[in-house]
Amino acid sequence: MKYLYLCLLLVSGLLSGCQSADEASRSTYILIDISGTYFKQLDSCVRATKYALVKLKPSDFIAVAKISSKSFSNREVIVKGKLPRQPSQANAMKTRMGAAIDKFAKSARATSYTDISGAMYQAAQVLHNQPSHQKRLIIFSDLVEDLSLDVIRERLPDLQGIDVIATNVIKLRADNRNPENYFKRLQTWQELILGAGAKSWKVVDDPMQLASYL
Amino acid sequence: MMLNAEMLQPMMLFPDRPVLSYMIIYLGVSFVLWMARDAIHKFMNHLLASIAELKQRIAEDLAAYASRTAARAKELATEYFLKESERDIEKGHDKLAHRVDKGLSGFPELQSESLAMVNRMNQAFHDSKKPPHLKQHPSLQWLEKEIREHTDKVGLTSVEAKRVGKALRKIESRMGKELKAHGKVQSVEAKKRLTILNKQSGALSKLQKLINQLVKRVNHVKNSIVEVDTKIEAYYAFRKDDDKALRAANQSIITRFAIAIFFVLIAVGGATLNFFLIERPLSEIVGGSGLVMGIEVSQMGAMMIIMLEVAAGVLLMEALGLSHLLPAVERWDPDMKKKVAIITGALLLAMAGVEAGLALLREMLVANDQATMNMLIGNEDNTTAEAFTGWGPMAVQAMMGFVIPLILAFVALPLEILFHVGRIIGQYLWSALMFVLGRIVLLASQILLLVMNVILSFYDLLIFFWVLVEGWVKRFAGFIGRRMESRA
Repeated sequence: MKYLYLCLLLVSGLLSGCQSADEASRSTYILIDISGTYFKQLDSCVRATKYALVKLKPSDFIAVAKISSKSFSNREVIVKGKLPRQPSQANAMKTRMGAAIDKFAKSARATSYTDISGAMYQAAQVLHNQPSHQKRLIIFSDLVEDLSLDVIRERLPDLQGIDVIATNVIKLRADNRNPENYFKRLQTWQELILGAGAKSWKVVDDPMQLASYL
Repeated sequence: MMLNAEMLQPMMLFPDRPVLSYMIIYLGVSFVLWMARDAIHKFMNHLLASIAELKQRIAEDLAAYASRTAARAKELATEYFLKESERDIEKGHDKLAHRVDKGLSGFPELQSESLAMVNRMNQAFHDSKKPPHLKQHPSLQWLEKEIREHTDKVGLTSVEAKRVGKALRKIESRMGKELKAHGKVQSVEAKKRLTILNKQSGALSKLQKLINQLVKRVNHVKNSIVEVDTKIEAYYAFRKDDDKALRAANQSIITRFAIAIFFVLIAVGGATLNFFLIERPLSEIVGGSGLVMGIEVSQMGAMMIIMLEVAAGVLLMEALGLSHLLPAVERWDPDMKKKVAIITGALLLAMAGVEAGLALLREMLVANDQATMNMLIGNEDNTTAEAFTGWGPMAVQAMMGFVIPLILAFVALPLEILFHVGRIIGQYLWSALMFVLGRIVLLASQILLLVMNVILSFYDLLIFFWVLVEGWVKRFAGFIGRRMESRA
């Protein structure tokens, strides 16, 4: 009887230490800027996104959306879904997602304005609805926000618990004339994002290095 | 906090004469210290005495504990070797019984065979001694001689003598023929006897062989007896608490421990390899990445499979009598042990089969990953991926998956040694640690006592002026007292 109690205690201890598969998984939201100043980078962004897709594990959540003139919309989401738990099925889903991203890349048109904040609202909303503990927002953009007159973005959304990674942040002509502009832009975004409660902020030059952060 | 000149500044009575001021401060402080001299000496002496007593007690306690632990370790070692000797003697007896059985079982056969052989040989010799069946042919030379003598006496004519001579030659010729025939028969009979004797020489060598075999068996039995005797002697040496036997045993304990550690490490390496082989395919089967105590379910599953294999292996070894980790198994009857051995052996084989299957699944997943990667990143060069996921590696993986669980089953043998011997070595190490700790306590307290004596001496040095004054005053008071007494 004593051993039975001991076994029960051990099992209850094990179960109390359990964490659901959803909580153990990771959520990644990738934003791809398709505005005029960044449109040329689309191919490399798509390649890096698909590379990031390869590195995801079963049960991970992934969404890929574009940053356009008005980005706070479900229509901007290119692919979204949670990878199945079985590795083979997860691979099948990755392949389908890759095809969808390719299709988007072929049909995409450059937009006149860049609504980064709106895309972040959309991303934050999706990521906050995910039960996972690790949430990442990856931004492929030059980080130059150019809003149309009818769009109002007073502040960034709540980014608590989200790691934000900006990658392939290209240098514009103005940055070439005065590099301070580039670093000031990065600094401003860092302050804004950390001010919005983001867990961390990182700038990764080479998008293919993203895999090491995933 | 260190005392420096700045701190003493407010106490300077004559700031322009620092030496004088310091002298006055010194005299003041040392006076206060001199006043407390008795109390400080008393306190320090008490402290020194207490430390000395405490040191003694701690050192004694630690030494006693160390010797108790060493005695316990010795007891454990003796118990372990006695048990082992008992097992060895038992095994030696079994071996002896087996050899005796084998040797004696051949005895009746050998006896009847040798008796039959001796009888056959007797018969053969008897046969060879029988007179040959020959026709009796008397010698006719005497007849010829007699006839010649009589014819000479009678005085035959030449014609008669010729006739007699002719008759005699006829007789001689016939006799010659008869004798020739007789010689032939004799030679055939002699050959027959020779054949009988030849046959018996083969039988003799067979008998020799049988006797040699018997001698060999008897020698085996004798060797077994010597082995058992040696083991019994060793056993009684342990029973008598013989230090020499124990010393030899302790040396063998360390060797055994080192070997057991080596094999257990190999087993751990094998288990780790096995873990990586089955973890990924298991995630395909259990499907998920939930955590149990911070470990993924598939990883936990892989660990559990390995643990189950080890457990089944340990049970199998116990049931086969190769290890003695579980006392309960030792109490089972042989039939029960046999059944458990069959069941656990079958389970192990089944698990090995499962692992082989998982290894195949793993290879398929690797191929699937590679294909997905090629599709997503656009790697056109698929030849390398195909080369590494062909049937060759698959077969190797499957074989490895099958063999590793079976090899892991043998971990019970070094584990047994590690558990039993590790306990003894642990006790010895603990005893040594306590002994060293006792020595350290002794040394530290000696140093502390020395330092405290130095402090006391320094204190006396600090108040030397007032001690000097005290001496003068006492001498002066003594002098006054003596003067007063002499006046009185």
